[in-house]
Amino acid sequence: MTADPQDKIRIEDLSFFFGDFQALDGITLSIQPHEIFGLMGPSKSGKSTLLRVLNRMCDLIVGVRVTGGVWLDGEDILAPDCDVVGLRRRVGLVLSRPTPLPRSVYENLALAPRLAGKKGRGALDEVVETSLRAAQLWGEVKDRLHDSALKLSGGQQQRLCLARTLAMEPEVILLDEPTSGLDPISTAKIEATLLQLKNDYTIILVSNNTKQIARATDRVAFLLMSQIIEIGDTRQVFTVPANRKTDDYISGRFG
Amino acid sequence: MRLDPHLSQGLVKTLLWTLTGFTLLILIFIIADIAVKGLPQVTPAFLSQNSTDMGRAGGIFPTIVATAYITLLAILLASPLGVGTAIYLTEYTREGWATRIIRFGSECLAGVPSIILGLFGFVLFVLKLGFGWSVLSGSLTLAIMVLPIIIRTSEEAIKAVPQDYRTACYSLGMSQWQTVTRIVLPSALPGITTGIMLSIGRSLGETAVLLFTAGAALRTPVSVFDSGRTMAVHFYILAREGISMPNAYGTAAVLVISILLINIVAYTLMQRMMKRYG
Repeated sequence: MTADPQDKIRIEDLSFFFGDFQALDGITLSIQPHEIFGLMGPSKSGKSTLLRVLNRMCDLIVGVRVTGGVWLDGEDILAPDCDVVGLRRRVGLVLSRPTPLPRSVYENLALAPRLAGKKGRGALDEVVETSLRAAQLWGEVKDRLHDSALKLSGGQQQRLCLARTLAMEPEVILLDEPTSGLDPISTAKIEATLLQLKNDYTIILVSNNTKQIARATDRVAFLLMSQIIEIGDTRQVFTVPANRKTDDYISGRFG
Repeated sequence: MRLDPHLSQGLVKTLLWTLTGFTLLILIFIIADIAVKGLPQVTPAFLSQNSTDMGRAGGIFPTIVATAYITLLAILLASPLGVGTAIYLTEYTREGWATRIIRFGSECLAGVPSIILGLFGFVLFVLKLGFGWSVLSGSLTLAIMVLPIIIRTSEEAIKAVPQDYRTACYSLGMSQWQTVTRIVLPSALPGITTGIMLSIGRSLGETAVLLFTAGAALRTPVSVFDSGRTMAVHFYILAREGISMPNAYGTAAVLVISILLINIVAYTLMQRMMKRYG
């Protein structure tokens, strides 16, 4: 199977097992460049697992098994010789809980780019400012760049984590329920940020919040019990869903 | 029979207070005893002069040098090995029979009486490897003695670092080594330092191991192949052979004060470090 050169990410018949539990069952999906792709579904439907396969964070869990294929720009990322560290620099992940490192705001942003080979005070300062601006956090923290990141509020910490991912200048950004613990104002800020980032990045957004998916994404896939039930244009899926289960889910009859 | 809750509460409280007080009293008694009998001996001359007449007269300068020398070398040998083992056990391998064997081995090593370790060091380093009674033999044996302490405390400290830090680092495309050296170890440093401090304390006070491996020469050791007498050994010999009780107490006072000072300095440094990373 060769990937369509148009696709940013191509997922082909992907299955994933934690021991005996099958978390993903025959997922086939392609993500276009510069789109915000939504993954929605009830908890335990496999959304987060799918996200973690895309930058191989699933490697960190003991006793998992993956079958099928995933290609990023036509490159097989499940291959045993895949450079996982390099992959994660290209495909950034923002987790549902804010996970600031116990360092200053500045260091949280500059550490990974520096380790990836970005040199010079000027270049790093610029990365820090650009990514904080992109995450709409610059105004709030520009005077406390050298304070501990742990002192920021939850919403600020989450935007810091987004900024930290942007600082690596990835091609794809994976967001795993990035606003689940946040208040409506912080949530709105993050959503506004995502819409701006679309021009430069390909974004995959996992969310339990169907309204957020409807607001923020271009296309959406509905997952249920480890399988994809429906993929389509967000507007179309939300107005005329092709599958009854999708209709039930988005209208809040279950999940 | 049922006791009145207020009465039993009072009884237990009194009992526990007495026990705590008793423990404290023992500590205070020991320190006071050493201070009263030892401190009058501690003069600049006592600290800076060579011993004469087997320690009956003169100072304890050679034993201070030997103590610092042997302890420092032992810690320098044991720390990288111990911290490295802890990193391997916690970060680079999954729980399995291999880690269990390593851990069990380390626990057993911790349970070996120091006099037996001393004998082992004597046979291996002094005789077999031909290092003789020397700073080197003593340090190597002490390093073996404190290794389990360093491994255990470092392991606990590394395990206590939140998993989120690692996840965050990996998802930013940091390699495992970068994650360990840049984030995990700095976060675990206070705990690791505590283990090293404990090891320094153990080394400073050790006599059995050093009698067998470092000898008891009352000269200032220069090369690692020189024999050296640490303060603890000096104290033991002065007291055991009845050479000079006042000088024995003087030595003990210096030893106790140095241990206290080291702990205070380490504690201060640690507080500063925690502030920086907290």
